[in-house]
Amino acid sequence: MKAKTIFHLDMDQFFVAVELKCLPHLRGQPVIVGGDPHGRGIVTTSSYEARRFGVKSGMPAGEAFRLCPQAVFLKPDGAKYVHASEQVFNVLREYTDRVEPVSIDEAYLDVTDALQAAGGVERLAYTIKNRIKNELGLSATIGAGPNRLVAKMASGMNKPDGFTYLPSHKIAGVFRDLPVGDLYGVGRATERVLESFGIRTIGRLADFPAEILRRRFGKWGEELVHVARGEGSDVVQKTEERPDEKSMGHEHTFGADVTDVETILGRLHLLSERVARRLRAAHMAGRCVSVKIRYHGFETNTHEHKLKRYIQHETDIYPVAEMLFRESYEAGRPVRLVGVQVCALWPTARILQLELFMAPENPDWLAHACDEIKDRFGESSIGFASGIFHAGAKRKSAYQRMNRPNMSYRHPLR
Amino acid sequence: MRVETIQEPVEVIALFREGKLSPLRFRWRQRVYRVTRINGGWDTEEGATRYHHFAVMSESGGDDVFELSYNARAHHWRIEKVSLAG
Repeated sequence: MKAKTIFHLDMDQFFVAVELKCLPHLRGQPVIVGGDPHGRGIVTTSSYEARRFGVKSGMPAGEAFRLCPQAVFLKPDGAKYVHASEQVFNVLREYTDRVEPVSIDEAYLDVTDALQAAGGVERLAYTIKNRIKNELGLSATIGAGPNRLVAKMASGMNKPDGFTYLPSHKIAGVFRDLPVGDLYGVGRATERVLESFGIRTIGRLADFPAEILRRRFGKWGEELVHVARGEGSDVVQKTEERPDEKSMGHEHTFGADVTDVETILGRLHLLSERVARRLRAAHMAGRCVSVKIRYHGFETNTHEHKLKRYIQHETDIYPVAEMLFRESYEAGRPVRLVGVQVCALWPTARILQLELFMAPENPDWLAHACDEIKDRFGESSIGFASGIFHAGAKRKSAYQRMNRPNMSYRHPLR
Repeated sequence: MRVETIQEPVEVIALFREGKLSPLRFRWRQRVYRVTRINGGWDTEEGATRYHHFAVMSESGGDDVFELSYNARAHHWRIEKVSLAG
């Protein structure tokens, strides 16, 4: 069987790079894309200049502000990043149809069949990198290898704007002296256990008896040895070949911790609506609902309820979510985040119509009418009143979206 | 850097060529700005309405970046915000 060549492409500081393209006067400055530094958001991406001050993705924006008060903080603009990502993926698909997105700014490519025409691995990598730079004004790092694992490891070795190729015969030599913590999939906890076995380098792990690690880690212990030897999957799946999503959910972090049950339920109602709309758009239904509650202090509880039938409407999802919340919420405790998820999904085409629509009052017509209104006037143009009045959501009316003056509304009970 | 949210209608002279839309000049608050550079563009949707956004720099605006948006349904332009350099 022909040996494959896999690329792992990772866009450099992607969200920041897209912003810098639009706001070039910020180049060279510490820039942070994320939440309000005086609020509760987190850092989504930071520029390399900000990283020198210790700013990292995922840290609270307030901490980032303390580390680097001179940084320019920008709110994330999802539409801008999605557009840039689409442009990048369009370039990638010109070279191979086997492009597997990992996230908005990361992908695996099986370029085996493109190498001959491109003139080799290095030339193809630089052709892609240069096109992304010249046509889109962004930079990417590419790692290349015989499988996904090696490509991923290679892309992390020379960032930003780098290229690293690890052909099969070079893997052992390059991996040998690297710290075991650098191995993909080895986190801090695993690293500590491996160190207790005297394993500090990837080379040592590659030679370690797999049986001993199997006793400590189970099957993963054996896999660790394979990973250390640079063995991994070389299958890159096109988007349409990937398995269907197993769950769909939405979460919301409150601007300030909330203890008012009605406010939390209002938000759960809004989240249920959003999940239901996604389910219907994907022609999926699920038979398990779960609710996540994150309290002040980041303690997180998730509760789920399995159903006897498949559901895809908010009128079915929300009552279960409400029941789960009321059963599990510790009254008076400040809530930071809530989430609703529908899991155990199945395509509606494969579910008996009778089972799907056996609700006493068929909500189908209502949901589809709402979907049509949202398709035409936007996601927040219509919804359940509880979502507006209790969740404090900023629903903009279609009227407002047509650039008409603001309309005001009064709560019907106040 | 300071960002000012404007959200006001503007008059724009634009070029439609080969499927691409490019703003060339805009008049905002009685002043005409000639677009010297389109730094970036992206689209958003509100229901069935598509908006084309442009981050542009102008001859008289120094390093300031103006965000213009074109409502492709109603065919009108707005200046959304200005990012003031310095």
